[in-house]
Amino acid sequence: MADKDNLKLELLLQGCREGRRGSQRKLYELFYGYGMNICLRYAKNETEAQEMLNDGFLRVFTRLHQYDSDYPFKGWLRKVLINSAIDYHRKHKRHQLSIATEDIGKLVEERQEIPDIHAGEDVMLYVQQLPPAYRMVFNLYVMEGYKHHEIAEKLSISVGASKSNLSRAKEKLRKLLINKRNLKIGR
Amino acid sequence: MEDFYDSIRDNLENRPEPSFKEDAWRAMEGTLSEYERSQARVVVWPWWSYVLLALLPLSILLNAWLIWQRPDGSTNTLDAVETYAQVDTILRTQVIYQTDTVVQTRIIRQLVAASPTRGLQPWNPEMAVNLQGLKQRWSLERLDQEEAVSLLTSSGLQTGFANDNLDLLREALGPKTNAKEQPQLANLGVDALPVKLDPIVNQLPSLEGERMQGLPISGFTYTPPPIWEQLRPQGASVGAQLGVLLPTSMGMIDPHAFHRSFQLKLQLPNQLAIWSEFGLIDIKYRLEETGDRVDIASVDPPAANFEFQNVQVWQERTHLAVGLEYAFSNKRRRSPRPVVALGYNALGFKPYEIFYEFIDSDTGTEIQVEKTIDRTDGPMHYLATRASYQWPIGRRGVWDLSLNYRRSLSDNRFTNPNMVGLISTFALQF
Repeated sequence: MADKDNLKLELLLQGCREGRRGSQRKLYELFYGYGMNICLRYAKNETEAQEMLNDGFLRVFTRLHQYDSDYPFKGWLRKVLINSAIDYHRKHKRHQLSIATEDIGKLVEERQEIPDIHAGEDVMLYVQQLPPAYRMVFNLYVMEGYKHHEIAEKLSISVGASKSNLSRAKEKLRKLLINKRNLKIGR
Repeated sequence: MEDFYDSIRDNLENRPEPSFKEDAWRAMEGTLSEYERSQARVVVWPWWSYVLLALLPLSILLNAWLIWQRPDGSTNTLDAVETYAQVDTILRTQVIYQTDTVVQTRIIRQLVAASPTRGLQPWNPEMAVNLQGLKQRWSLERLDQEEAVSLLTSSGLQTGFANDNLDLLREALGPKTNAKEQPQLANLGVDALPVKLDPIVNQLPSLEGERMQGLPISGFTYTPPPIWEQLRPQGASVGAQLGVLLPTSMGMIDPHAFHRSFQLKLQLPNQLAIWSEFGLIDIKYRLEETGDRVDIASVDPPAANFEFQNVQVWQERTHLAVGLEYAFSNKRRRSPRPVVALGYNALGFKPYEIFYEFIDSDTGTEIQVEKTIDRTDGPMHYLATRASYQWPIGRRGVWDLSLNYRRSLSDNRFTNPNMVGLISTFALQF
């Protein structure tokens, strides 16, 4: 079954390499949900995520010759979409938020209540409410597993800025989750 | 802390995937179509096309110069030009070499032994054999003029013509007293003897009525086509240019450009001239955005707290143009005259610099990031138009002040802005 799926994917990719619109549509349709879920994390809303996704798929269709079929296509697609999100962020950002490095320790050391996340609760809504710079660092660190120095390199920021943005993101997210829970209890 | 992150990660990873939307694909398809159209517009020229493009004006000038060099124009009939003929006794043909100032040699070959009537013509095998004997006897100094005339006359030549040929024969063989030249003279084939064409032509009318292979002898009369007359150069000029141009694309801040180049011009009849220019154009402008629309790549800010302000572009472009010019006056040198010109202009890329400016909004600190771009795509194409006024300076000098407009034939108006400006040219006429 897996072989059959791989063959189907390989045929789709071959069609895309040859520029066939039908193959491009099928590939897009096949990975729309997967890609959209990634892009939603980096975007403030669905429209923005849609733009990131299409930017990413344009890269997929135009740079498919760079894909090594020895590795899973999903992994390559994920990387392309993340890079696309980073570029989108660079292109559209107007306000960079950062804090001085010396404040980081203070932020980290503070004892904070960690809210529980219940099953069925969609954290995506809260992640999307983070400021772009926080959201970007948070996603790269928490979801993609990058180290701070890697994030700093990718986003052309300092390691201190990466750490501070992550702390701020976590703090903001924590508050958002607690407020939401309090609202629910209040009802 | 890690638990918090893990629970968020799990929640996001296990989130149900959004279902496919037809609208999303339509937007994607639009983006793809736009991309494909933009790719189709990019024509990458091979490296040798630049060489050909550079050689084009030189080739025009060289050809024009060669045409110019023809003595008294080119309407001369070539039967008056000194001609050499060879008789090939094996193939039984005569080959006539005609000196031509442009192509140097014109060769006409015709069969000479096709009919019995040719036996009495000057270039037949019998005559060739006789001349061969003549040459041998001359080499051995066993020949006097009377005998030579007799031999040539018996070959069917008139006496006068034979005498002419004898003189030429002497000339070809050199002074017989010079012993050193004897070996060379011995190697001289009779078929290398120069003869004058006029007498031959005079004897040839009878050939015209016969079938001949190859070109008829009347082919010597060459009349250039009328267009040749229209293109014969009347003069040439070499000049240097300096100017200021204004890129006119919307969205550019403080755009300006400097133009410096050399100009070659070839004056044609009817107040026309072929002009060509080659040089450099420096284009400078600022933009408040980056990205595909303006064809300027985005770069990362030096630190997270810096915001992008604007980008300064400083492009040094190679410039090559060729076209046609018309002067509204037929007085060539001594009076001012208005001129209009139209042509093709190619602007190539040299490695150029971009300065990105970032500002820290809290402290007001500005940082400039410099980037060098080395583009590999081909030259950008322009339509070049010019209206100018020319003033004579001294005996050969001309000063030309022109209003230029260069319209880009490419799509991206930021990389290839339309330009309007003033250019001053000083040229020397020849």
